[in-house]
Amino acid sequence: MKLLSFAHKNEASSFLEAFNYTPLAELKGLFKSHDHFLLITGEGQIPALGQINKALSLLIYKYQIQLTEHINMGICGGLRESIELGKIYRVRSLYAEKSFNHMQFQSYHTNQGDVDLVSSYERVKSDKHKDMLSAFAHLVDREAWSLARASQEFKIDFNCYKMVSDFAGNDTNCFNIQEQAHKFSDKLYDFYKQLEDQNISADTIVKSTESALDFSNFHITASQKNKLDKLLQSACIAFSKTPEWVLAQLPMNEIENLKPAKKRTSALLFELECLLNPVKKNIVQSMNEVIKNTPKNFHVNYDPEFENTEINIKLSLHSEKQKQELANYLKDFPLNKLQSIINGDENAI
Amino acid sequence: MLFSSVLVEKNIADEKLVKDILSRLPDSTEKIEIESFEKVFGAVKKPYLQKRENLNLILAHKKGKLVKQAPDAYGLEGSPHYYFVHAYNCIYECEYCYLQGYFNSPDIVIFTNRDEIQNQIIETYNNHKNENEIWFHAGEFSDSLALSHITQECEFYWQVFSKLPKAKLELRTKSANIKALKKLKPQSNVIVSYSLSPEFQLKSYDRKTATYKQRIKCIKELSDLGHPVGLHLDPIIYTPDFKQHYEQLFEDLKVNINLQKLCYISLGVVRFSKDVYAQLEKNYPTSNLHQQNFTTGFDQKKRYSRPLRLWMLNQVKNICLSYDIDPQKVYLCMEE
Repeated sequence: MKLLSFAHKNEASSFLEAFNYTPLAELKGLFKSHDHFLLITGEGQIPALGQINKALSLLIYKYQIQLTEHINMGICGGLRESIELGKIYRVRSLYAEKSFNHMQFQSYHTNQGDVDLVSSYERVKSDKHKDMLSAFAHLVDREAWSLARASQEFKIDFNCYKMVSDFAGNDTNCFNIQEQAHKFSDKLYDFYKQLEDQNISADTIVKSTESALDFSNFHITASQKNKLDKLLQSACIAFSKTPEWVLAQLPMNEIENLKPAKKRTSALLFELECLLNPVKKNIVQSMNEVIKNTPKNFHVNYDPEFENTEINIKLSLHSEKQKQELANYLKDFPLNKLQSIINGDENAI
Repeated sequence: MLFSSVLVEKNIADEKLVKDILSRLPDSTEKIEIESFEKVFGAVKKPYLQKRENLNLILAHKKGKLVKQAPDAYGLEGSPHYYFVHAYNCIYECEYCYLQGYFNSPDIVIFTNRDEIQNQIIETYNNHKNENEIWFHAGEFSDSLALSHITQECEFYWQVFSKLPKAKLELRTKSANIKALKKLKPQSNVIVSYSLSPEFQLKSYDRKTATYKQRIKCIKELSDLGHPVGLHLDPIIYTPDFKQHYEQLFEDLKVNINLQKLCYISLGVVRFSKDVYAQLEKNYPTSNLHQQNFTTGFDQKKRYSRPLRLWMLNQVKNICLSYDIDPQKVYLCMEE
C-alpha cells in the first residue's frame, strides 16, 4: 500500500474528490481508500514530523499495513531562475534549514529526481532568505525533509513531486493557494494518474545475500554474521554466482563436522576468505609449514592479518629439560623465514 | 553541461580572475552569489554520485593554511614535500577515489586567492633554504589539469616556479587537457605526473577520465616537447594476472617514450580509509573492488594484507627495474 501526503487539504482537494476515502478516526487528516492512504501533514517541519510519525506508527504497528512507498506531493516555491512556474518537478535531494543561515547537515534522497528541495524553517518572504537557500536547492517548501526523514526511519521508499506555484522572495504571495487551489490540485492529480499509469516505482538497490541459506548449525556472533554477509556478497560479485553456488565451492562437509560450533564458524569464514583470495591461504600454509616442527607444548602465534611482523612464542616451563628444549628451539627458530613471508616473500605467495 | 550553476562569494565577485573564469563558462550556467563557501560547501550532506547529473562550481577564497606538509612517503625520499590547496574535488569519478569519503559534497571549489597561495609557497620555500630541493604538489584534492582551460592555473604556477629554482612542482593528473601545457615552455622543475593503471583496470574503475591510450598519448606529447613527466602506478589492484598487465603497460610506454627519461615512478596498492570504504560500499555496491580481500591495518585503513601488498609492490618494482629504470626513481607511495 502507498501513502500519499500533502501539507494542506486544498492541495489534496482533487484527490479527496476522486477517491472514495474513509477518514481514520484515530488520526485527524488520515484517510483510507481501497489501495492507498492519504495524509494531511500540516505546514512546517515540526508539525509535519509529528503528524507523519503518528500516521506511520498507526498504520504499521496498529493496522499492520505494509507500506511500500510514501509519495509527498504539493506545491512549492522556486528559488532559482531556471525553475519554471507551474511545472511539476521530481525531487532528488531534500535539505532542511534549521534557522536562518543554518542548515541541517543530514539530507535525504529519493531514487529518482531532477532538482533539489529545501524545507525552510519559515516562509521565505525576502530575497535575502531566498538567495541564501538558492545555494542549496532549486525549490523550497516547509515539510518534505521531515517526511523523508520519517520515511527513512520507518524504512519506506520516499518520493516527492512538487509543483511550483510561485517564486520565493520579496515578491512572493506567501504561496497562498486559496484562489488557485483547485487548479493546482487538479494538476497534481493528473500527474499522479500518469505516475500510476507508468507504474513508476522505486528501484530496488540492495540485493540481499541473505537468501534461504541455513546457518543454524553454526554459532555466529553479530560481527561474524556481518563479516559472513560481506564475504558472501563479495564472492557473489566476484564469481557472478548465487550465495548457494559460493557455499558449494567450500569444503562444507569438513567444516560442518568440526566441533565446537564456534570452530565451524571460524573455518567457514576462513574458507570464504581463501576462496576470494587464494593468496591468503598460501601465506597461512607457508607460515604453518615453517613452524610445523614446533614442540607440542610451545605455541607460536603471529598476527592473523599479517600486519605486524612480531612473532609470539608462548609456553609454560615445568622442568630443566623443557628449558633446554626451549633453548635449542630458539637457537634454530626460523624468525627470518617467518618475517620474510610476512614481508611478501615470493615463494610464499 | 559540466556545471549547472556557479556559486560565487559576494566579496570576490568583482575580481578579475573570477570574471575571467565566469566568462569561460557557458551563458546558461546559473550564477548565484553566496556569503562564504564555508556556509555552503559541506554544510549539508550531498550525495557523491550527484556529480553524474550536475555539479555546482564554487569560486571562493580559502583562508588559513594554503600550503601544507605532505604525509610521509608522499614523494621521492630525502626532500621535504608540501601540497598546496588550490581546489576541492574532481570532475572525474574513480571508484576507489578517496574524495568520495573526504568531503561531504561533490561540488567543485576553485580558490581564486592565488596570490596568497603564491606567497605561502614562497614563504615555505624560504624556510627550506638549506635544502637541495623542496617539492610542492598540486592535485591533492583535485585533478591538476582537468579544469585548467577554465582556471588557467598552469600559466600562473609556471611563472611562480620559474623564480624558485630549487623548488619542484608536481601536477598530478588523469586528464588529457594538456592544451595549456603544450603552449608553455618546459621547465625542469615542473613535472606533470600521470596516474596510470593497466587498460582493463582503468576501464573498470576510472570514469570520465582520459582513457589509457589518451593518457599514454599525452605522456608522449609532453615528453616529446621536453616536459618532465612522472608516473603514479597507483592504485595497483590484485588480479591473478596483474603482473602481465603491468608488463603490457611498460611495453606500451616503451614504444612511446624513453622510459629512462621519466622523473620518477611511484607505486601504491589500492587502500581505503574507513569512511571512504563505507562510501565505496554505498556508491558502488556491485564494484569488483568488493571482491578484494582487504584487511584493516594499524591505521584503520582497508588494504591488502602486508605480505600480499609488499609482494605486489615488489613485483611491479621488478618490472620497472627490468626496463632499466633507475631504482632511485622508483618509490613506494604511502608505505612504511
